[in-house]
Amino acid sequence: MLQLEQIGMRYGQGPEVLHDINLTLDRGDFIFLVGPSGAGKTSLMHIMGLIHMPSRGSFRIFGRDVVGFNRDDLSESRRRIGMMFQDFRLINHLTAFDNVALPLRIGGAREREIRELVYEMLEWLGLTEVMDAKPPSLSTGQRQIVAAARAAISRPNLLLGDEPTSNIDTQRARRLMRLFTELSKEGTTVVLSTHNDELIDRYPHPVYHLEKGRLTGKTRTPTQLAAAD
Amino acid sequence: MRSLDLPLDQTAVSRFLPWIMAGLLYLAVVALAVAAIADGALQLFDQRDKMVTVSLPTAGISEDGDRDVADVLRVLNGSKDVASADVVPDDELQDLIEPWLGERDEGEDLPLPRLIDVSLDPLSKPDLRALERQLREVVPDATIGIQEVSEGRAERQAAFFRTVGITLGAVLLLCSLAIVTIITSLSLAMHDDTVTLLRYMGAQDGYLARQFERYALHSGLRGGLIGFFAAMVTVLGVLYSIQNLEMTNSIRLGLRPVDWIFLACVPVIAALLCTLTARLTALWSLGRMA
Repeated sequence: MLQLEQIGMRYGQGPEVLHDINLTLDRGDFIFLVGPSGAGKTSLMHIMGLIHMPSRGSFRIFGRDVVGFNRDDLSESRRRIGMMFQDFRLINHLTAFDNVALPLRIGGAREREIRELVYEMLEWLGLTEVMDAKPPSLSTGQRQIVAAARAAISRPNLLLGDEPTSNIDTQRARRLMRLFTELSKEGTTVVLSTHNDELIDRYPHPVYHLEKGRLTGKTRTPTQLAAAD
Repeated sequence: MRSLDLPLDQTAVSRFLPWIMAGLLYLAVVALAVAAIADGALQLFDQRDKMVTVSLPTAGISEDGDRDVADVLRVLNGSKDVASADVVPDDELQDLIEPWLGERDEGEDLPLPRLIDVSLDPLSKPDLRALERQLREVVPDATIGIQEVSEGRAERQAAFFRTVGITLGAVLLLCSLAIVTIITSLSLAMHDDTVTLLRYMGAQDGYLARQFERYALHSGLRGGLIGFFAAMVTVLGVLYSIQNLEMTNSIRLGLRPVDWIFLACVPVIAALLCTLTARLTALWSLGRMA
């Protein structure tokens, strides 16, 4: 599904921010990506989300090498990815409903289907009361959930969440995690970058450590390690 | 209209597009209405030229009057430019002079000219002066009544207004397309962040161009209709004033049914052209942004 080999990346002529990243993910995998600020988590997420191209190495996604992508291939592959940005990147003049509906509209879904799916999603996440509100009038936590709903609404093949639970309460974080888990069970590959140890500890998914632009190891959660002992 | 993904109706550069379109379409429709009215007037002039009257002033008192009339009819019927020639009957002639001379008593012998109504071939461009010379060869005082001097001037003015109206209308339509091009390019640059975000979500150039296309169609139609109705009020007001003040004494100015249809098509055609322009501009600009 996704294969990174010896990936390196630099912004412009700047220093390399990712070095020799090797990572292979299959359909339905669910991983956490952890590491200190500036370790390169967001850059790696952006490569996986086809937002930035690697400076070197081989990157295959959905069975194809990105080097051979033309514009249409790139758009088509991006539509199969749900990206939740750290800064949410909601469109301020659109309502919460229309922000969530964007991937479906871009994908050419019919309005009736869009209305049903978006309402269902917002209802499940407890946001129907604010679905006609615009992002500036929402709380940070509500904006984050809207961003998560937008990333997940099209049931993407790959879901990338950059600090997806950093601004929301535990109850909503658990609800979001349940959404991601359900998607993963249906075949969506989920990659979440996080600093939230409680989250990592609670969910038994592999944890990849990134430090100074290098993947330094893969561990399981403390719970898993304890269970293994 | 469902909200566009790009806030085109909320940014300074594009929010006035419907009003700019209304202003330009108002001027364009007025210009084209003037052209249509002038074209109608030209057609009336053309039709008027197709009917002339030959007068034989002395045929009424001459002993050879009937022969003169017959000779003139022979020349007229022999001309390829003449469709028909009919002598105006005496009683009709009496009716014609009655307003000036009053009712005449039975037997009152006032010499009257003989008149011949001539219909010219509508497809020909007859040289009426040459025809008159031909008639004078058989009847020396024969004349063809042509209001050529005054109508020739009015005709030239109508032709001028038609040309100016069409040119101005076309230039104003081109201006509206140029403005759509500029606004689309500027809007794309202003909303670069949102465009980039939509691209990250997999939006293709066609999807993004449709945003501009929809906005241009909406603005074009809204502005076009406002401009059209305002222009119609102006044109009808001016026509009403002209007719009431009897500013034209020879030709009745107005819009024909076909002119109304043509003018009603202007805002629709303008909106469609703006839509196409916005789409092509957006696609071109997005291609360069990539």
